[in-house]
Amino acid sequence: MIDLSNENQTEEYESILPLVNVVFLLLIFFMLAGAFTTPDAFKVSPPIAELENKTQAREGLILINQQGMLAYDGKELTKTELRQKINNLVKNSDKEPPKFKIKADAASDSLNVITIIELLQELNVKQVELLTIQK
Amino acid sequence: MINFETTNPKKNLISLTPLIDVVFILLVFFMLATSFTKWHSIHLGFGEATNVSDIDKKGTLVEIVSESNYQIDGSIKNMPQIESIVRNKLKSNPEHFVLVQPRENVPLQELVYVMGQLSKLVGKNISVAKEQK
Repeated sequence: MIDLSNENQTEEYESILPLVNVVFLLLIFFMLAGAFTTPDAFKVSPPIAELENKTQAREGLILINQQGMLAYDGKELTKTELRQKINNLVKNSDKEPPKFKIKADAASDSLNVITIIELLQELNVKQVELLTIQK
Repeated sequence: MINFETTNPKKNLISLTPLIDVVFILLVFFMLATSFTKWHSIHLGFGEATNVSDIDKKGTLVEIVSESNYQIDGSIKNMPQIESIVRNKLKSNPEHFVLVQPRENVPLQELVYVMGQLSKLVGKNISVAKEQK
């Protein structure tokens, strides 16, 4: 009797090799093209803009959601706590003054965002950027 | 005589199944953990003329009344009219400053749109301010 089991097994492997190749390519693509993200304290959909100033999103990020809630460093804060935290950061920065970025919801009241911008201005922060996504 | 030929080399292949399992798990992990969002930013400069009281001397105050309704010098304008006013002022003063002031309940998207359109004309000479009560 002829034993065909070995040949069958090899044929099975050969048939899944293209699948393995594609999965490897996808893996390499996601590893190289993507960037790791940490989840935000709450959901924020940033506004869309036409401007093309690329930025790294994670440096000194202040979150403002649609209801005007605030978060810094992934933690929810009140306005007073945020003021205190930023004040400490500004005081403790030796060389360059810290830069801040605001990620606010597109549907949030503009005045909530301006209040935070004014708070930063008051605390002597020189550079503030508002995060957007491109059209 | 011992027949070495009976050991089939095909039998010694390393099983691919665990490897594929691990690669699939890695693939799923990277697909869920990575983000392809390209972040952009609008610079919010704190220029010299960020006070509404100073703006008449140094630039233009653009009030956002509601979506697509803007006000300059007390009259309601649309975006092309605002752009043309700012463009004319830039001819006489290239350092002309624009201060954008949204009213209550104006969504941030509208403010970003106005800032985006006007910063194409004035560059970094643009800032935002709250309505003074």
